[in-house]
Amino acid sequence: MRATAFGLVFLAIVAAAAVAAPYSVSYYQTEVLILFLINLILVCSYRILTTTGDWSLSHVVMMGVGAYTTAILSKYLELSILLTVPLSAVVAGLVGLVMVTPLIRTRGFGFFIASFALGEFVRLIWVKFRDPFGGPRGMIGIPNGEIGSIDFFMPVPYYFFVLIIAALCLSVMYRLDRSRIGKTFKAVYADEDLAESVGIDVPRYRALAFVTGTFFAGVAGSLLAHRLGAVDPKNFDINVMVYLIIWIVVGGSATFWGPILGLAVMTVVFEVTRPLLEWRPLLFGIILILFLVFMPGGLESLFTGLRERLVRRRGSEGEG
Amino acid sequence: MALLEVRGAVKRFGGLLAVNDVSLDVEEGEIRGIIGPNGAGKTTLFNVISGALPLTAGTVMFRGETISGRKPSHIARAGLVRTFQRNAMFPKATVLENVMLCRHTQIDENILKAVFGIDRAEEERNLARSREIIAFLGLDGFADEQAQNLSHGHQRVLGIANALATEPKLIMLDEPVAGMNPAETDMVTDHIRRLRDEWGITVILVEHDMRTVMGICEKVTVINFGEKLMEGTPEEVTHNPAVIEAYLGSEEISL
Ligand SMILES: Nc1ncnc2c1ncn2[C@@H]1O[C@H](COP(=O)(O)OP(=O)(O)O)[C@@H](O)[C@H]1O
Ligand SMILES: [Mg+2]
Repeated sequence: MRATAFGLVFLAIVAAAAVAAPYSVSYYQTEVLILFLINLILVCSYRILTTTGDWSLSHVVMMGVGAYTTAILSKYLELSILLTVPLSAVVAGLVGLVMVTPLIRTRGFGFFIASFALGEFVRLIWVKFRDPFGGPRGMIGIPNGEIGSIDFFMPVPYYFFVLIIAALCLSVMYRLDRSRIGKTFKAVYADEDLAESVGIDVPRYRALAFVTGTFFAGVAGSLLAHRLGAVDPKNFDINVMVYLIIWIVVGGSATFWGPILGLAVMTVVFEVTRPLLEWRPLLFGIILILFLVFMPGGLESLFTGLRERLVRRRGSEGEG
Repeated sequence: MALLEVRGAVKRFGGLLAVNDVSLDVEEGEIRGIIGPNGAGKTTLFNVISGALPLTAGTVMFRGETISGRKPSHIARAGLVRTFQRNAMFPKATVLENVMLCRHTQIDENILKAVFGIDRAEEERNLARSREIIAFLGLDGFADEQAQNLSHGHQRVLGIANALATEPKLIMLDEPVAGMNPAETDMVTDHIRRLRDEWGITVILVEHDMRTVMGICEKVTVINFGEKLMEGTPEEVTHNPAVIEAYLGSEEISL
């Protein structure tokens, strides 16, 4: 009871801060916040896959599928942003469905490598097919989008648009995580043989997690394409994928909040280390290794550890 | 027609014939014992019947339908479930959550339903039934305990609870009382009998401990080196020279 009340207060504070934020920071910082919200959708969507134990290396490419879909739909078909975002998600989900069909036959390291190969294959298609994907230089001139008279060229209106979409996506992903299906994903990870023996169709659930994750990655990609106004294959290469992995490793993936925490912390680290220039990837690599070695549960494990200790103390006090 | 009909089951691991031409008929309402020395192929027989491993040759029929070649999850939906020789469970989940997670055969899953929480009545039904299963097996005092914190004996019983959650017609138990003390063993033996008598579930029991098998099974199948050595009442089996030989040949007979 007290926990939910605390949660509601916390949520209200976050909501208030999110609404006030663009009015108290510079345009540049608003752009950073927009990127943060897009990455928020991305990292939470990636966690869906990881709950079944499938650490895909193609997730950023799936975001790219959403981005390219948006580029084509809004440039050539001049569809409204209200259509490009959901349609890009659907297309990313469908491409995810096609990809997961062979991937499901692999597990663990095999899945890791096979997903990378399939992702590179998709990127190769973008590079090779100048029409309509623009080849190695990608596509430019993607409209920023507008709703009625609200032009999303300016960062503040777009910030609010992305904020609403992110809130929507995160609440759906949160409910999914708490639902029977979300628990089944974790059961598949915990003991695949047991899960299958009690009637859980393990490949089907892994596929469901993959497709759901890629669907939301498609949303993130679409929002990104509208903001950048341009997409190219390098936006979605393995370097970006490594950042995604760093966020989720730093935060942890056991709870819904871990990846969010990781992204928030690493976004701040990213911004304050801008002066380091080309040394920054080295720093991030070191951070990744340090976390893998010394805190494999991520930052969230500090909180879950604290909670467990509190519960245990309360328990022993009760006995005493 | 028997509830379960195994015809000429063969399972080969490279050069090893772990199950060699085993045929088996289990009637509805039976408690069937399967005994044999370590490495005889009992667990492998469970694996091929439940679909965990593909058969090299032979067929398995359940309720008149061929189930060999199907996935374990489909076979579980058909009403045939097995437990594991190891303490299989979802360790971080509580006892109640474990049983709830294992009720997939009873649920028509759908992502929209899950996200928007439409079917509350179904969830309530599952909760009530899960509690019933837990109480039936005497785990009600541990419903909110994390599975990994249970004693060995309770973890073995949770394995049975998880299997029962699928609402099986036939349950195959792989050494359910392994590592239990005599009091726990008696309790579990009693649960198994009640499963059949009160819930009408047919039971196949793989057991190393002869005393347990002799106490509750009407009919026993003896397996040795992957082959069916004989089949009969506990009385017949224990007095059969070949069976005594098989057990004495490998290890002590625990009677
Ligand atoms: N997955 C496997 N791969 C190779 N050999 C196996 C496998 N599973 C079991 N075996 C072998 O098959 C034989 C029968 O094993 P098992 O069915 O576990 O015996 P039991 O349960 O009767 O003790 C043993 O020799 C064992 O080593
Ligand atoms: Mg065995």
